[in-house]
Formats: sequence, structure tokens, C-alpha cells
Amino acid sequence: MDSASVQFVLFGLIAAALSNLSRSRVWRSNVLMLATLTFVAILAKSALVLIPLAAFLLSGYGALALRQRGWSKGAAWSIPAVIFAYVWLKKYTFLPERFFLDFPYFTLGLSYIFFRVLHLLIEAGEGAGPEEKRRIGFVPYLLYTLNFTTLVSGPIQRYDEFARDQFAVQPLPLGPTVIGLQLERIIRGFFKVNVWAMLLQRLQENGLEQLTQPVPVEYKLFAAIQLTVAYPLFLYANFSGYIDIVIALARLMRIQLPENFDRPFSASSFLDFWNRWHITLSRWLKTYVYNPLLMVLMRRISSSSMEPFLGVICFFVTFFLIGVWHGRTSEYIVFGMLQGGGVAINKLWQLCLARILGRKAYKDLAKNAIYIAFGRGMTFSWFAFTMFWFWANWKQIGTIFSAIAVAPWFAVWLVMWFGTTAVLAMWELLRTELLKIRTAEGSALTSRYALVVYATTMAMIALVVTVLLNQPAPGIVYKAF
Amino acid sequence: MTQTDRTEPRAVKETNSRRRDWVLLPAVSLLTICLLAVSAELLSRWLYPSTQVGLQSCFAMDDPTGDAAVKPNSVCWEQTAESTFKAEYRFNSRGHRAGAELGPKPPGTYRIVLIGSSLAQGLFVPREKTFAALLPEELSMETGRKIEVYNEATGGKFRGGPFPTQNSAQHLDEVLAAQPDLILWVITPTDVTNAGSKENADSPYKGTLHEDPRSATGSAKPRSIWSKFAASIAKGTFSERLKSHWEETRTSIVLKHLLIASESQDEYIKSYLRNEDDANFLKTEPDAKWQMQFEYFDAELAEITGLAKNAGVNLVAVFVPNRPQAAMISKGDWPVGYDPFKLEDEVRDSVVSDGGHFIDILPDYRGIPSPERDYFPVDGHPDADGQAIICRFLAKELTSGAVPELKASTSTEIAMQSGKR
Repeated sequence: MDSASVQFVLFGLIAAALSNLSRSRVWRSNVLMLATLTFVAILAKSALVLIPLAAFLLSGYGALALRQRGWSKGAAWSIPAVIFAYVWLKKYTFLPERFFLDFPYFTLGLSYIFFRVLHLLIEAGEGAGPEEKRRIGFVPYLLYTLNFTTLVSGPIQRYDEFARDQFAVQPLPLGPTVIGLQLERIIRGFFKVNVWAMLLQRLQENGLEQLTQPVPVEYKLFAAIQLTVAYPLFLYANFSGYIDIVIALARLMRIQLPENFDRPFSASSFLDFWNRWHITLSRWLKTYVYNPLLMVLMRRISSSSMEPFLGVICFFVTFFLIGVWHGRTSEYIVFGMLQGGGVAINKLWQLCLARILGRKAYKDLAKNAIYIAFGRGMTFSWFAFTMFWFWANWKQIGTIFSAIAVAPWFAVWLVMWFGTTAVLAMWELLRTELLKIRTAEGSALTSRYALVVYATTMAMIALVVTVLLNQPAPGIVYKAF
Repeated sequence: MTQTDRTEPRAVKETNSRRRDWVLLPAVSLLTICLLAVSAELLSRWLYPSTQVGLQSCFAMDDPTGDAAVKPNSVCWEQTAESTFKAEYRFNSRGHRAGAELGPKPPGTYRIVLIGSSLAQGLFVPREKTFAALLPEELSMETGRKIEVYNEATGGKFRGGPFPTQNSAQHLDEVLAAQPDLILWVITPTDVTNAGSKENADSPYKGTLHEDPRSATGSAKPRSIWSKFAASIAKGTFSERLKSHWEETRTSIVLKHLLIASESQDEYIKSYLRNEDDANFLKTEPDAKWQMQFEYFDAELAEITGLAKNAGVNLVAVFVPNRPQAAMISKGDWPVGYDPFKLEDEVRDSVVSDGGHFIDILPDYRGIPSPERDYFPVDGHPDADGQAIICRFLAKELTSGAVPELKASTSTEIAMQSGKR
């Protein structure tokens, strides 16, 4: 149930069908609550393991209630307290082990609950406008924080967006076209997780195996490329596939969840990449870390020549935190530094080029197709290399990097840069040309007839792979965070 | 013309188009399914051909038990979808895939008679690439004496029958008639399963579990197609039948082949062990069914080993791993509750206690990276590379001193023996 399984999809479809028996918001909220509690009960298996999560939620609501009553100053401690409680419950390894609870408890989705609770607390603070300051009851709070469609791996929705759809007197329309599109999206997501991600994971594991075996260096070079390229593609198929399913299920329940991916490997820079990858996470941190931090720095350092460089610092801090959030161990600190470093260097590069070439010449260069293609290749290869600190532990990282010498690794990186530049450019070109094939109703390849063909093909392949060939899909990677 | 006039026909057209979609879209979907199924099967058959030429002339394919012996002096060809070549099965006048007729043993020649099942017979592999064909040269080189291997192995169900069966001991006189200096018995995990299955199949309770309880008492009135369909769904036989039809398609074999071949060693072991029934023999504590199967096998083993001992012929048994077992041994670690050496240990104990000898080739698989790649992924038999590996290990262990007559000679000894001849 905590993966993109047939059971999860059926559970979501049943919940959606029940939810649509009435358009009343009370009925829809009751169904969502019942589905969420059932979902948590199935995953938790025992009530005892839910106690820490329940305590976290209750204390979050307590702090929210205080802040909503105007006791923001008195409840200023609540935000650091929630952050500490999260770090403690997630057992971040920089805390002494003896402080942790020594019984197994339920932490699935805690990271996403943490973001939602923090969002509510911040918005309920002093600076919030009258819209945000309206009281949130305990049931809406629970519905928002525990919503089963977003519990396991997001996306991180804002409360106002959730409330707009869930508590609307006139809920979002749901006609045959919308239902058809959502079913197609569920199939697409299921196919991505159960077929694409499964095959890409095998490719990655084979690369790792080959790299550590006594084989000639040319095989190892090929294995290194295979290992490096396969993981980001796997992660994309795995995570975006799951997100496709939950967005479609939520839409069938008349809730419009925010998009989390926007063709990330089409990004022409690392900054652009983070606007397209895990969008709701980067948007959250930009809102609550980047913007306030930039404001504080700008207030303290008033030099206008330094102003652009303050953005670089803020970008580093924001994306360092994004990296660190992903895991509890020291590998993720390096991952955070590589994300923050990548974004900061990207920003510096833009500033320097603009200074050297002039703004207009830089803008023209940024529109150049070859510059964009190389930027795309560079973005992919950088992200792919940072992924080692995302999925591997120090021992594995040591094995991977000691399998071949530094010079061959440099060659691997160059091959990847130029290779992905060419492949992604060709893909973009092909996609543009294919979308140009049009009928009276629009692009032929996105027509409802074409969508039915894609959906049927994907459903059939996914059915054969999961049911007849009994191939288990890899678990959803982001459920661990 | 007013605005309404202009938009009305478009609205009507759109409504008609939407109405048409209720028929058109399912039809498009159905057509896609048909095209996909047909094209996948045609493509699979084209890319992974499987041919059987003249199998009827070699084997009694109409024998319901599948245990009938090979027809003497016959020749046929077979290519499995997983193999890149067509293997010729040429049988001599005794129905053996031995490469030549069994003649009187030439003086000074050491004759090994090979017994076992499909792996030893070299199923799906050309004879010249089987370990039975490669072994004489390898052994002769190591020992400096002339060594002959006569292959009496049978090929399994519908390929001459499995080995051992209840009749195997009765037919040991045929093996002894070949005047062996040594009987080499190649044992695989499948042989243990087959020995047990045979006993189960012969049991008086055979078939009762699968019989329709309504057949004896139910109405003789012919049922409609719908009621048959509904009944088969209710009994669960519909999905089983559907699955068995699917299993027979080339698409199924090809997809399984590609999926298994794409697995890393670690993932392959994990996915194999998930299938509890198949992995029973790898468990440190196998279930009662498996233990019973082993007991049946053990009884056959005791009888054959005893007969060889009584005839004064040295019987040497060797256990050859199957695909997952080879992968586990090569990897060097396996999940708790499993042990790839356990079955071999049990077989060794039985052979030795019954008066036979045992040579151990399993540890040799530790030194090979990914030995599972030398087996056909779906079928599970070793391919030509796998047969060559078995030959190498057999030669190594047979000449290590386990059989004094085959102890490897030094180069001086070999030169002297050649001089004498």
C-alpha cells in the first residue's frame, strides 16, 4: 500500500468513487478522513507505533492554535520545537543515539507532515494576512496533514490550495473527459514505477556489479556510465510515476494537487532544473528559507554591488538544506553541498557572464540552441554525479570511485556531458517535430485517441510485467525521506 | 448571422463527436490490445526461434508418462528459444547420446560411464560442446592415459525419461555391461524433485486432489458456455488456464528470458528466493514435502550405489548446482535461512554411507564471476559455456586424488607413459 501497487491504486479508486457519491463537502471530508485513517491503519499495523506521530501532530496543532489566537510571540518557540521534534523522531545521526526512542514507530510521511505543519505555523504567525489568519479546526488540520494521497511522498500542497478544493461549496467539476485523463495518468504513473523504474534499477545494479568485478577497464568505463546515467532516470520514473498516480487519484476526489515535475531533464541549467524537479519542495524552501534569508541579508548588507551575490549565498543555503533534508546521515551533507554548490556556481556563472558580455549579449547567448543543449547536458551529468551521495553509503561510494582511476572518471564525466547533450538535444528536437503533427482539434499525439492507445499499451505491458511475470516494483524512494 | 447561430452547429458537432467516442475509444483500445498481442508474439518468434525437427523419430512423444526410452539409431534436432544454435541429438543403437557405438574396451583405456539426467545428456547443447564430450581429452591431458567417457544419461521427460526413477536400479546392468572402470553420476537438484514427483505420481491417491468433486454426483446435463465460464472463475481454474496459455506463448518465454537476464546477481538471487516452492532445496530447514522428496531420491541412490558396489565398480557422484545455487556460491553470501551447500552435503553423506565416492565441485564456483550467465535463464540448463565450466571442474576434482587411477600425473610421468605406449 505504500508503493505504486495495484492495491494502492484500487484503494484510491474506491475512495474516489465513494467521495463522489455526494457533492457535499461534509460527505467528501468524511470519506477522505475515513480513507486516510484506513490507509494509516493498514500501514501501521498497530496503534502503539503511531503514538510518536500522533504526539507530533497534536503538539503541532497546539502550537497552531496558540498562534491563531494571537500568541505568536509566546509561541515563538513552536517552530524550532517542531524542527527539533522532527529531527529527533527521524533519528538524524548527528544527535546522540541514547536520546532516541528505542522502540519501532511509524515515520512514514513524517517529512511531508513536517513541511505542512511548519507551513501552517509560519502562515499563522504575525506577518500573515487575514486570509491566512482564519482559524483552522482540528479536523481540517488532520485532513490536510494526513491526506492519504500526499502522505507518503507528497507533493507538498499549501493549506489554502487544499482548503479551496476540499471545503468548496461547488467542488471541482468531474466530467468524462477529466475522468478519462486521470485514468490515463494513473496508468502512466503505474507504468513508470512498475516497468520503467524496475528496468532502470536493474540497469543501475548491473552497472554497479560490473564496476566491482575483475573485468577489463573498457567494461568498467561502460559500467560507470551505465551506473551514473541509470540512477537519475530511475529516480525520475519512480518518484514522478508515484506522483502521477496520487495527483490523478486526488483529482478524482476533486482535489487539485500541485505538479511536482515539469520535464526536469529539459532544464538548461541547474537553477532551471530545480524549478522542474520536486517543484513543491524547492518552492517551499524558496518561500520559507530563500526569501526571508535574502531579506535579512539585504537589510544588513546595504551595498548594491553585493546584492546579486547575496542571492548566491541564499541559493547555496536553500539548496544545501534541500540536500540535507533527504537523509539522516553524513552522505546527505555532501549531497546538500553539491546541490547548493551547483546552484550557487550556476548563479555566479550567470552573473559573471552578464558582467563580461553585457546583459543583452548574455540574454542572446542564453537563447542560443547550442548553449542550451550543452547546458542541458551539463545539468544532467552534474545531477547524475551528485546522486552517488543520495543512494550510496560511504563504503559503496569508496568502492565505486576506487573501481577506476581519476582520469577514467574524468573521461566518464566528459562522455556523459557530450553524450547527454546530444541525446537530450535530439529528444527535444524529435518531441517538437512530433508535436507539430496537428489535427483540427490540436496536436495529433496528444489527442484522446492517441492517449487511449498509449494508455492501453502501457496498461497491457504493466499488467504482463506485474501480474503475469510477477516482477515486484522497486519501492518508492521518497517514502524513506 | 448571430453569434448563437455560429456556435450552435459546432456544439452539436462536438456533442455528436463525444457520443461517438463512447464506441470509438473502447474500439481503439481493443484494437491496440490485439495489435500488441499479435505483433509481440510474431516478433518474439522471429527474434527467438525455437525449432524441433524429427523429435518424434527420437522420442515417444505420445507416451503419456513422458518416461519412455529413446528410440535407438535415431537422430533429431532441437533449438530452444533461449539458444543461438540448433542442437543435434544423435542416438546410437543402445539409445545413448554417446557420439559412437559402445565397443569392447580397448586395452589400457580407462572407461567412465556417465549416468544422470538432462544436464549430463547435454540438453539444448551440441554434443561436441557437452562436458561429456570434452571430458575425455581434458582427463587424458591431466593423467597422461587414455580415457573414454560413455554417456548413458537420459534427457528428462519426453527426452528419454528422468533419472533416477524406480526402474533406474533395474537397468543398472546395462551400465555395468559397458564394462566401466568408474561410474560417474551427475546429480542436480531437479533430479531430487523428479524422483519425489514420480513417487507421488504413482501413489494410489494420484489425481484425487484435482478431481472435480461434482463430477460423480453432479448433473449430466450439458452446461452453457456462460455457466462453464462462471464455474471456472469460481473455482479459480479460469485464471490458471489463462496463465498456462500465457506460459505457452513465445512472448512469455522471451520476456522472462530478458527480465531474468537483465537482473544483477543480487537481484536474481533475491527474486528466485521469493518463490518459496522452487527455493525449498536451498533452505536450511526445507519443508516436509521436500524432505519426503529427498527420502525417495535417497532410496534410489542407495539402491544404485549398492548395486555398483556389489559389482565391484567404483561409483563417483558429483552434485552440479542449478542457476541460483551457482549465483549464491559465486556471490559468497546469502540470506539467513538459506544455504546453497546444504543439499550437496546431504547427497554426499548418503553416497558415502552407501559405499560410493563423492567429488565436490560446488566450491569451485566461488572463483567465477556471475556463473549464472552460463545457464539458459528460463529453462535453467547450462549452455555451452556452462558445460565447459562443468568439464573443467570435473577434470580438476577427478584428478585431484579422489580417484587414485585418475590422479593427475606430472609432465615427466606423462612423457614416460607416452613413451611406454
